[in-house]
Amino acid sequence: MRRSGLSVLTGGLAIVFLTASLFVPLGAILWRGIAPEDAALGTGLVDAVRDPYYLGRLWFTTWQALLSTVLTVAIGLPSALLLARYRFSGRRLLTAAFTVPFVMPTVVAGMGFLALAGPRGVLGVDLRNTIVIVLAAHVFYNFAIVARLVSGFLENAGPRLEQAAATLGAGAWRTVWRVTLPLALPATVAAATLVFIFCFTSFGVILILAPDARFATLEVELYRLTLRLLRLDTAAALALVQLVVVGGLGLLYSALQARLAVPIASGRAHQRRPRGLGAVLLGGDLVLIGAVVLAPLVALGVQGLTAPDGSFPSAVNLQAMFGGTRSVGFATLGLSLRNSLTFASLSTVAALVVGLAFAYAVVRGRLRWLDGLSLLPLATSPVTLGLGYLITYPWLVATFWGVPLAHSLIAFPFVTRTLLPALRALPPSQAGAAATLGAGPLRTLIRIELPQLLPSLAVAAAFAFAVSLGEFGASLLLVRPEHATLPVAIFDRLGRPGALNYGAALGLSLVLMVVTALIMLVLQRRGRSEF
Amino acid sequence: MGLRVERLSKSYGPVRAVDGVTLEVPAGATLALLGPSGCGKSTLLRLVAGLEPPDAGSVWISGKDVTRLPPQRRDLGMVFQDYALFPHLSVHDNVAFGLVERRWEPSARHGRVSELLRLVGLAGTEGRRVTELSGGQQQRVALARAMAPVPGLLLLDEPLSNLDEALRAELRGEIADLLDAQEAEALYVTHDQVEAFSVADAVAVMREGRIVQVGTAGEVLAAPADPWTARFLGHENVWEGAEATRVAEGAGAPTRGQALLLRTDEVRLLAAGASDRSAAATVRGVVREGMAWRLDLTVPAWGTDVRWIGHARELPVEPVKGASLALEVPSTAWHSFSGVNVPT
Repeated sequence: MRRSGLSVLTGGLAIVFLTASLFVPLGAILWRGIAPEDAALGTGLVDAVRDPYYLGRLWFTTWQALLSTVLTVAIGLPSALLLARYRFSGRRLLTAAFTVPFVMPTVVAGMGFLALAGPRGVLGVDLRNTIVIVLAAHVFYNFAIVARLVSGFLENAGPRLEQAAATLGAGAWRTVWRVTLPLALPATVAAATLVFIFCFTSFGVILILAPDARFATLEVELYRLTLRLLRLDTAAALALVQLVVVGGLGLLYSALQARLAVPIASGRAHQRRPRGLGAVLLGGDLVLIGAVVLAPLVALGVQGLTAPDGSFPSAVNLQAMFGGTRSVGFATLGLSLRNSLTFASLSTVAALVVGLAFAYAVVRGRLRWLDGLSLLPLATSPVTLGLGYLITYPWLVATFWGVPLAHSLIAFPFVTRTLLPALRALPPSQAGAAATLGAGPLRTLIRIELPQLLPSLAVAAAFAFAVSLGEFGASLLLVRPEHATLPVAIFDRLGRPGALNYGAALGLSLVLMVVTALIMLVLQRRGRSEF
Repeated sequence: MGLRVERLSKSYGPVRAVDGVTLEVPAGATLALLGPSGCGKSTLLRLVAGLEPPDAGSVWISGKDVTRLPPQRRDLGMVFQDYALFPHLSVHDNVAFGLVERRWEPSARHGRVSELLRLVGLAGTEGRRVTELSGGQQQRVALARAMAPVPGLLLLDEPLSNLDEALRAELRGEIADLLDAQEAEALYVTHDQVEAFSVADAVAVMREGRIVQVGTAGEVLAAPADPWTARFLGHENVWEGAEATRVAEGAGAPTRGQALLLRTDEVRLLAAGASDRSAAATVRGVVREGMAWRLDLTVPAWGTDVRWIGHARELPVEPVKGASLALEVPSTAWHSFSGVNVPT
């Protein structure tokens, strides 16, 4: 196809957006990390790397991420194998349940675990400020990545090969050992890499569940340095270290992904109904998954509706979140919900516009080199992004617009990864047919492409909205008190003493959980996405 | 008037998909572009449509140089291999799509859509979704949609290749009638020679990005430009080089070129020894192909094998392996050519 002016224009728009919202702030961090404002070139970086305290943070960040990843794979992999091979009623529901932790805001998950095993937790064990609760939250968050990525890969690649192994005399267990697991290895490593990246940059979970300095990850340290200590030079140096680690792993992940894209032996998934040992394993796994996914959310629901004196159900906590209007800095439900919805709407519109422009340029303008750029925001941690904005656009952060800009960037990969496959699925001959019938690129976009993209646009919008609603790290750095979003308000309440504030935090979390769940219903009903 | 293509070229990496093609379709005529898959015929069509930019050369439609114009400004209609119907629009809206772009009045639009749907035998389907239609019906809608705006040039890219054989035969005739009835010239891309010969006034044979031969069905079949074209069109008795010389000497055939073709439709089978002007042959293999018989014959005098296809009534003896018979070959059954491609 000819490259139309429209595709060049949309490509330009997408590049301007990525440059302003990502590349410039990242560049500013790189520069600030290497060349601090009040010290010699490179000193900030060298000091940060030599300081035993920061080395300790790097060490903790690494080993907790490693341990979280191992645990996540250990729990996710069996589920993946069982999901890929067995057909059972409720399978769809289960796959849907897998998305729950992935889309749930960090703050909601954090509050869920606090409600489960915090100082006032329903289990009666206080695990706050222990590594156990951190690991549990990381597994909750990430095991679905392993389960979905690996089972998705096996469903496409496995069945024929396993049948071939069976005809060659391999029994069920031998087949799993000699065929299935080796097949699943690259997908597992890819998933593990992604999980490691997410745990390495863990922020909200740590801040809520293990605020003690012993458990501070680099990301938490970044936040402390930026907002509490105002040491931007050291923060930039630390951010640089984190960017290098995450960037390297991101490259590894893309390389693995590219290898996974090679079809091995495609064929329709051959799925059996579980029998005997398979049924027992599947049943056990389902119970485990149910416990991991549901326990914190149920605990949040129960405790959110329990009064401090123990009566249930009670609306005390829900009432508490309306309180505090007069006190400065107390974000009420009304204010924070209104802020959150405003930011989410703005970010969704912006992310849809630039995401659509990007997808159009990649597919119709065949600007394939652009394609990889859309995943970069995923590899940039929210706090790093917030720090970058503070350094680059202090004037913007002083206004209302820093948050929508950051949120639309964070939502951008979700939008593009939803729209790209949808646009690619449209036969190219359709655009050709429209052109030979007299429609230029813009008319074709309006009359042919957009109408067919509507379901995917709805999914992308739901994703963007949910991402913005739940976003915590960047918001924490960028919002002014009067613009506090729901997650920021929850964190704020949690940081204040007293049962009433804790109750308000629970109530707000409950609201956020319900709103997010409603959005996910839209996601499950409509269209598909790569996520 | 008409379509003219001058020294058109397009490469994809090292592959020269279209290699300096010059071609002309006279006003009102239909030209079939015939060639095996991958010969560049679809690319040539896309260059004419403006869906791809050429590396070199020019495209002229109705006497106007349109090389630099996008498809929407070339005044043409195109039928795609996969039909490319718009799944979110009804049959009516698909056919009316080009009329809306050309700003036809609504009433004129509805009239034209009904007229075309009647023409392709789909009257009354206006409100249906195109996804509910059968393959053959979708093909008809695609044809109606391309013809609706009365384009100056109609392009058809393997329009029947996604249909089963029976439907293909039926639609072949219908399309031929429709193309005859309309005034615009048409370029019809296909790899199926039956389709090419039944739909078009003339055929251009394409190979590896070049036009090998242009002519009517009779011309191209009787005198293929080279051995490759002969074999592509279904001729099975083609000899080249030393083998051609040997066969020509043994059979007393004309030996002008480096390659020789025997058209078996002019060859008669006789009982062994029936005529002293015939060549003795032995049946080496027999295959039934539907109603026809296919015989592999060894002809000792020519030092080669000949393949003959025909019907039972043309067989002088029971066609069994080892049977003896004779071939009567008039001199007009032989065609000799140079053995190299003739560029046009």
